[in-house]
Amino acid sequence: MGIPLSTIFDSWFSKKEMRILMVGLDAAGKTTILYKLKLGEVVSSVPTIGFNVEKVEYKNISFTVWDIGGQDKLRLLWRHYFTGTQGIIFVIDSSDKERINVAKEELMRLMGDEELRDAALLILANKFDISQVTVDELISKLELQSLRREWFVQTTCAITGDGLYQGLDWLSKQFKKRKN
Amino acid sequence: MSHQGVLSTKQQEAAFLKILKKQCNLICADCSSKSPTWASLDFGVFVCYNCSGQHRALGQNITRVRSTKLDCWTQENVDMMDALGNDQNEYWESRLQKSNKIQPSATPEEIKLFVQEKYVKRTWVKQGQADPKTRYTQCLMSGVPFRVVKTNTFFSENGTQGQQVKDDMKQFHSTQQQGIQRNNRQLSIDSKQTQKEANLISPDKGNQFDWNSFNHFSTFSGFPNNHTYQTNQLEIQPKKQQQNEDQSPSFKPKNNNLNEFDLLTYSTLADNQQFMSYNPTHQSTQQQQIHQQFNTHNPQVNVETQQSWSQAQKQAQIQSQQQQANQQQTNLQGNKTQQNHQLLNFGNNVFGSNNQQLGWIQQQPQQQQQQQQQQQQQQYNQASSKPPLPGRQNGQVNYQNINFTQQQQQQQQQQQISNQINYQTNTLPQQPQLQQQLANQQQSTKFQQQQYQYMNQNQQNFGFDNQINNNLSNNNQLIYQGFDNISFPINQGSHNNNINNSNQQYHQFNTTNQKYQNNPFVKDAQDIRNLYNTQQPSKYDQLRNNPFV
Repeated sequence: MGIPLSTIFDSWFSKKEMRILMVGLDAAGKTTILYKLKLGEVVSSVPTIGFNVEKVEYKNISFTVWDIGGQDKLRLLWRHYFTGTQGIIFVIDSSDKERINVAKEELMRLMGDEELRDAALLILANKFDISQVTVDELISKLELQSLRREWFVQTTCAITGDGLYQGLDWLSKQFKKRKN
Repeated sequence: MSHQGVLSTKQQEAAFLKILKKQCNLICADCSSKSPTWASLDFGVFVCYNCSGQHRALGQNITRVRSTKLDCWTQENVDMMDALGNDQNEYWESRLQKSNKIQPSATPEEIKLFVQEKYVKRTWVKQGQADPKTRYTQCLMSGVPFRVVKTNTFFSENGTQGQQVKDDMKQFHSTQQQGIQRNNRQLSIDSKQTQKEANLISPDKGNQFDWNSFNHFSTFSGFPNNHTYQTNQLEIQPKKQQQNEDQSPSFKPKNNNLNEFDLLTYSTLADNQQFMSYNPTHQSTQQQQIHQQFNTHNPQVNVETQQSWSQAQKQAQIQSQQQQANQQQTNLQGNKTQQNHQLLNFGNNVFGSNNQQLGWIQQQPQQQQQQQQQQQQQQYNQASSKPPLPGRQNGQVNYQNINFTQQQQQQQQQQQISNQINYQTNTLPQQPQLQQQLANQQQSTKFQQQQYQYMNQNQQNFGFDNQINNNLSNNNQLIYQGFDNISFPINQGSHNNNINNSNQQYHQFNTTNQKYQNNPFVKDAQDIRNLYNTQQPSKYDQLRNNPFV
């Protein structure tokens, strides 16, 4: 009798872990998002050379979020973090119209990787409060329809924290879905 | 990586090795720490790692930050950074004292403040000059090289070189006038770059402006000889002090036509002063000071106009108040229309509200204006402990005061007159305290009270009649300070010989401050004067001044 009960309790109360990789172009706001989730405040960040890792607990799931620098030459290093990744957060700066094509190319390169075949894709359209684009425009410019996987676009503002937890909500739903 | 025309890694390394070797690029443009490797594309400066974070925080629409090592560069951007670089601090920090610059050990908050002040608010930029990137793109478009050789070709014996530079200059300025401008900033002779291009800066004078060659230059090239300052900033016009005694009767001071903006500034001034120190006995002082501050925006008001204006205003006030009385009899709750009339009285009654004015207006409408104002205030003080905000009087009507009987009002008036006498004796001239503080600014109310006392003293010294009206003369104190020394020295001597020397010194000191307070050209003019005085004649000067050479 005790054994099944403990398993039930475990399934309810034990924390599940999910490994998240957060990438995107430089100055998109990845580090700001990470520490907004972790600390709840906006830190003054410097360009990330290397990576930041933080554990964020939300809805009984502990997300291990890897935030990796997005400079041109650091993007080559992203692939070293792919192994075991269950979810990808791709952050784009929606106010930066010039580099939306660059973001698309980087995203397509990510999606072509074999190791990320099963990972859920969450796209955070950051700085959406100062951008002049709509979500539909973003989706068409990033050519998300061509992807053969589940994706979700969430508009965010890292400074106020708007939309961040909605994104995590979607990720946790995907996580439970895949467990079952 | 994915861009077109991107340099290879080796090319980029070689290019930046060369660029970052330059003397100016050895330290960060903001915090002066060594060997910066990050570049701000829109400002054209190299900054260190810490400062690059704050540059990035400004937003992609303001500047784009790229690493010289971790990012891939196009040839155009490399060329631009080669041309600009941290030499452009000459533009960005033209008016910044070196002691105010942040140190390499600055915290991120300090850097953030500094960067915003420097690049976004453009507090210290050189006046009358476009920012470096704009000038660079202009040069690219017009084909003029951004950097001109510093050697003195214009006055060289080889006439062809000088002619070429002159042609380039003509072309450059014609493109300027064709309207490739940004932010209404126009190049003038003040720009260091133009000076360099015109060879007005001789290397033997330590890169200082050379007036001598400028005169040659202006006569040769037709460049206008006068200075033009065209910037985005609001131009503060120097005060014109009119001494015309014959003012046309139709002259209306600015206060009569208050627009919304005036009301806003007026009310904020009053708000601040009210809450900084609320003292009923000094309310008249405060009010007059508000008048002073307000009238400083309108330098054309002088005593004569003020007198005629006050008479006209008195009549208008009485009329509007009678209208208000009628309205209040008919409809006590029609606050909005009353407020409209109140706005008409705004120049006079800062602290008064309609309901308090009712009783005594019906009895004695022909009182002096000063007494009126003080009575309003006193009445108001008795009615409520705290006066309403002048700008926000909605719904703050005391219905108690409407039901005053006439006897009460008479008693009140007697009290007020006695108070008023006390008040006037209280504010008789006293010795000015803390004269050094007085010289600084008129920001704090403490200081304003002192200033007011001192002004009363001035009136005696200069033979003003105190009985005319404190209000009238005090209204223009700030303006008078400018030319008291000039126009009234005879009065000073004849009417009152007992002036302290210290007072006189202070007055002169204050006058100079007052003169230069709002004049944006004084600093530049002083700089030029100093520069001109300290210049040593060089051999080039001797050559240029010699008509036989």
